[in-house]
Amino acid sequence: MIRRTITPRPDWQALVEAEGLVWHSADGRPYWDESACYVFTADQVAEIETASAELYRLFLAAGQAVVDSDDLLDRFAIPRPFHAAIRAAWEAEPPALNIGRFDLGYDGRTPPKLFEFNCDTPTALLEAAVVQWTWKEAVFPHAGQCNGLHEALVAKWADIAPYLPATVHVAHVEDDAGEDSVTTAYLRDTARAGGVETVPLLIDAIGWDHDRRCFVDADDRRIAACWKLYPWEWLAQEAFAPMLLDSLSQGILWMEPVWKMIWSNKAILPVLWELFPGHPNLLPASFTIPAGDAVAKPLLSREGANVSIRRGGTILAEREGEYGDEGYVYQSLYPLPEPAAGCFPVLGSWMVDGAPAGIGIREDGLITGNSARFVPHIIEG
Amino acid sequence: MTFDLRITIGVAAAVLASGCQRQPERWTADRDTAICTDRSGRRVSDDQCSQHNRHGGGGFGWYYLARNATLPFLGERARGGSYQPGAGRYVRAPVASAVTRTGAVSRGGFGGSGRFFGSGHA
Repeated sequence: MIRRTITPRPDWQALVEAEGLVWHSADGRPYWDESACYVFTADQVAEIETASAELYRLFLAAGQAVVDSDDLLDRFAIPRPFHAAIRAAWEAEPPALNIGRFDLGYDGRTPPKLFEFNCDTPTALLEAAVVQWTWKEAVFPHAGQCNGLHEALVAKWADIAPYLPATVHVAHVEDDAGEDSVTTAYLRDTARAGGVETVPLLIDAIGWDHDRRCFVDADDRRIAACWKLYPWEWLAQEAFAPMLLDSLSQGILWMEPVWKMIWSNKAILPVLWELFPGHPNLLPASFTIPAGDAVAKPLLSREGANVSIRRGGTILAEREGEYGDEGYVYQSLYPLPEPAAGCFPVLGSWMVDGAPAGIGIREDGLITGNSARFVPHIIEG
Repeated sequence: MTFDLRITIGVAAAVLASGCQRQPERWTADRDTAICTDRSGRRVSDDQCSQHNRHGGGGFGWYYLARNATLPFLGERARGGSYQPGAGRYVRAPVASAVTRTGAVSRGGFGGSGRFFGSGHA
């Protein structure tokens, strides 16, 4: 894996906007950064995909361990009323895309290491699935790319279509940058290609019809299935949480499934390490502060918020945020490669229903957060 | 590989045009649109106007809204239009817009945790 500096296409902003990536820049800097690319060998990509499939196997085992234990569900700060719903969904396996992104540390020489699994509300989707492919076709047409994400999503929608109601609502938060709006619009495009009708919905426009005992959209239409770009742990804490449990008990389909509250929680990291100590794709992790260098992560943090790096008893780097009330886990420090000054890549290995589906790379400082840049990749050799 | 991104591109264009994407909570007329109202000016099913206009009476009448006007829910008072049509052609409102905003619906129970969730590329 090497990082190659290249010349961006002169009109790259217009080109990526034409594919929907309207949040390509932030604070005057590119978020979509095609002034560089990562180059992998086919063997390296195979290693990443093998590790991702293996990690998925570990998550299945860890998920079962958590589902079987009220103590662990409590440790994950999952509200008690949701325990039964999680167990029921884990067993029933309701239709889902089961999409997720393993964030991995990888240096091209040693086995990929898991940082976390973003599998409830993964973003950076359009840029990974579409924009970097189109970039590759334009700039390196003869090179390969680890990217079957679009086809995998369309195929998965087609796979579950017979089990879905006539219309699936796709919900998101209204955001000025457009990332949530467009990401969910892209997901609707993949649904349409897979033969599933969808309608958009804003999270805060969802209503509860007390007479019909169901959620309704802004036009008072009953919601029979909803894919949401909104974390389960937030839904489970908000005013409609009791109605949500009622809705789940009635069999209303919520995607991703409620059991994703387990996999997307950082508390899964110590559980994995306890079940599979020394596994080559895992970093040591614990609920207590370890003796050595470690990264402290809030159970429910997003975008790197409140993550801190502790080395020799001092805090080396830290991101501010509003998370951490539910507690922390501690993961051994991984020495991220630094192929260019200040550029630390984190690999996003996409999964669709347990199968590796593509790679997206983000670069940032020592903690990957909301200032990260998406850098495309190719395969040579 | 080819991508059919018609929804993505449509939403992205709306974001660029407006600075942010606003999903309407109500139906908006995309052409000059006629809706049926009762004698108190509240929207009712189009059938009422079709039947009673043929026979006269009933207090039902067409109410004419220009393009981009907000379509009221059934039972709500029509505003912003006229009982006199303009020069152009008027279409009927989408059937899906003929719904009641029931008083038994509570809203706002989701969405309080994060104003902008994914804008950090997590």
